[in-house]
Amino acid sequence: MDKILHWDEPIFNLVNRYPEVKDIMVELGFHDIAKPGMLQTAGRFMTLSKGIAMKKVAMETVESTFLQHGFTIQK
Amino acid sequence: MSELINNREHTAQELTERQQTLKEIIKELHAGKSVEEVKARFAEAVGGVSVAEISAMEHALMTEEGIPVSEVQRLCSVHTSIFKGSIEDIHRPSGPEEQPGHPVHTFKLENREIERLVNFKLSLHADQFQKDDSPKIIYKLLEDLSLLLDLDKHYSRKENLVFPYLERYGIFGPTKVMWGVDDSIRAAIKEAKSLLTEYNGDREQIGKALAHIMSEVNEMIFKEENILLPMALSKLTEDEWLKIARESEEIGFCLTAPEREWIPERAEEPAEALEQTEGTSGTPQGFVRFETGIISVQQLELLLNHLPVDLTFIDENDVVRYFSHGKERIFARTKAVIGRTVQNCHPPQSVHVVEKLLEDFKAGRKDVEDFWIPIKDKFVYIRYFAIRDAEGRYLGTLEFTQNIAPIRALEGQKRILSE
Repeated sequence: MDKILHWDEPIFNLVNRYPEVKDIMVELGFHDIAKPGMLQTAGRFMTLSKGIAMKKVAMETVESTFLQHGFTIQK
Repeated sequence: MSELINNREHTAQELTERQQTLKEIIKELHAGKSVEEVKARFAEAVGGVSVAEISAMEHALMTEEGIPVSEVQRLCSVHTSIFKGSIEDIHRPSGPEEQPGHPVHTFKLENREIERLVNFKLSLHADQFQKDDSPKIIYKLLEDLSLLLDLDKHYSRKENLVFPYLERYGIFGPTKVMWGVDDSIRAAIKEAKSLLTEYNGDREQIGKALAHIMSEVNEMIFKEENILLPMALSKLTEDEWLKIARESEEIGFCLTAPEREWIPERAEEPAEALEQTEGTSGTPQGFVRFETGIISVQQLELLLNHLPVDLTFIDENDVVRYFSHGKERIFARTKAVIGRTVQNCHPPQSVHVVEKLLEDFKAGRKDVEDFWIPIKDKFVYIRYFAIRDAEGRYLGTLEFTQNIAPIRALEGQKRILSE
């Protein structure tokens, strides 16, 4: 069964569903997410699509990295 | 008192109920009912509805109900035909944050100006500089950077007015992190200025420094508008925004200013009423009896505000209890700091200095510590005194800040009255 993530879902929800998402995000360069308190607060407003816009990471990079970990990202 | 009555929970519940109804209606549509059939129920169940609510609901449909995205998209046109009328018909003022003078509106207004400066002027001059590093272009870059330093006020308002409230709601991490980034941006701009002032021909170094500033400033705008401000809007009450708006002037604005004072739609109550419940205006009546005299509270307050120094007092638990409010404070203080611990009022980089100092005071190793810093035309003498009772118990710390430039400049003598 595929694990599905949505571009516009808060990171907080994604990590709650799949805790490993946090490490993958850090691997992708979203270091702030690992800082204490971030996930519970800013994470409720942060989404994957906002993240790539802010950090200027290519959408493809995010997609393929998640794919390697068994995640599909849905629009 | 108003903090005890939690309105937010109530409205939050109402909101989810409404979303529930909205969801049911959509599901009915999904099951094949016609638009006309559900329209009446919709109108009855839901007064005004915001676009944000619709999108939240659509999102819930996808994630919770498992309705595929394509289905929701197909339904979109139906939603609009139902919702369209009601969103536009029902008298619903635009969100308060859209109104001029609301702190969020002001922050965004400033961000547009900062963007214009950074992404247009600064970026243009940075490009020109790579082709021609003449003094003329360097001067233009210096001018841009000096203007950009104005964002110090934007950041200061965020740090000293918005963060304290977020902290009250238990949000610490992000505010600390953001404060740290603010500081690094301030430092980067100053650094670039000094590189340009003492330009040594290293174009690449300057190009890198400018590119770094541009990307960091843009990233900060993104973080503010997509995370910080929405988060603050979801937490803070209207009264809290009002207080922030009122205290903003104290720190000042960046590159622009709100066109008018923000008066929330509901606020019929005069400004004085709000302030009186806060106990901030109208010094209480009464007298204070000291060992060496009796004065009224009003006299005491005026007296402290007329001292040519800035006073700030923190208690034995490091909580800011009082600051004097003279005409020209050297470091801006706003009422929002009262009740905050001093650790949360200092930039992360200097917090350890403050903590070390307080530790020494508490342990009785020191009673006084002095600092002196030249700031523009001022020479600022900052003194900290441990306040102890007769038994020597630590009761708090007094910060005593004074511009001693005029005193240092004194020479000779003066024995007659000024004209």
